[in-house]
Amino acid sequence: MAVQAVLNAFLYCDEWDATGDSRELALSADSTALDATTFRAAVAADNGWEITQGGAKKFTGSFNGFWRAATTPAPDAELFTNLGVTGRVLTQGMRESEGTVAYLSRIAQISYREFGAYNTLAPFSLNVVGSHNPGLVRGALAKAAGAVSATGALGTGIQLGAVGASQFLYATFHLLVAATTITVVVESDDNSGFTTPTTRATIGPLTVAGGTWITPVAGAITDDWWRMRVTAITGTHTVAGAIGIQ
Amino acid sequence: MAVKALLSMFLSVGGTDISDHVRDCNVTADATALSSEAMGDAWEEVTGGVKSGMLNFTLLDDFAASSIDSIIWSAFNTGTNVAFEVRPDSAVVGTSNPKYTGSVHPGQWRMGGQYNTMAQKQLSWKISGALTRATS
Repeated sequence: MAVQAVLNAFLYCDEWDATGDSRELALSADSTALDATTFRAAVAADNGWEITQGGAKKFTGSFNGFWRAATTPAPDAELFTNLGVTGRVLTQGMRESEGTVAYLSRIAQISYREFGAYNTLAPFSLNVVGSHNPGLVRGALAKAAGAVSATGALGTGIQLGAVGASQFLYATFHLLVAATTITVVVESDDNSGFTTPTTRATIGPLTVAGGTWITPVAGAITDDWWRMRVTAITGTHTVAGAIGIQ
Repeated sequence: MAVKALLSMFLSVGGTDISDHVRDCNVTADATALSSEAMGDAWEEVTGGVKSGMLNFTLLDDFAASSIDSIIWSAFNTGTNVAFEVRPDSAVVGTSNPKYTGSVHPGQWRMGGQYNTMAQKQLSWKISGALTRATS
């Protein structure tokens, strides 16, 4: 086991690769602690003590970094324009390395703060809340932000495990810089070489930058290896993506 | 009696010893003070009501398979209460090293941090049912 310093966390929000603009992130998930105490507890020893049961869950997040304005995705244009917009696709994690843990979510930006004191770098901060169910999916980064211009495997194959009968497959895809067109599939196999892959979801064809949250794919799926693959492409795009099972 | 420097606390959650990632840990126990004064009383009186507690702990985060993030997320996402055990020292339970055990509602998950700090999770989980102290 290895603890880690926060040095190369990552944050993709729709078409905005916020990694290069951000310095701090804080993600919180909470479930309501419902008071289930009665005059007689199910276990006699618990009599006189509060009994708690989990209720609804919610996801909130906050991020901050250095303010910047540009025509390309930058904090100011992204955050001001999209204030109050729901369903934005957010993928984040604490290490931008393919195969490491990533959290997938769809969010609403509920606050945006910019500027500060004299003689400091202009800051920004924002707060988000989960806008859709499920609020947060734990998965892995399949493709770290990077350029792609050819068909074939995209990023790294990941052994996420099988999808149980009561579980779903989720994936996020961020077209950070768009060229002409790109189509990507999420596929699975029972081996790391992906010798007999099965397509589980198709993303695209995409022609403009933005985020995609695939329609969740219901289990059961016995394959345990997962990856993304480019099936059609024209031009050089910058993309990122993550896959999760929950 | 000797005071105690906390250098080797023990914390297990859901049966998994996570002590080697613990930065701080405390258990709180409270009893509701029900106001019970009546006519004729010149001073407030209280009667003890229901007891409750919290397990508060900070962990160095770890995203390796089956490590901290996986354990905490799994407990949170499942949503059912999990057992815990806290001892002031990882040594064997005894009269000078009591264990506190119970069940907690894993109602919080955290991830994040500022650039150039250690990734940590600071969590407060509500105890459900009795908090038990034992010396053997």
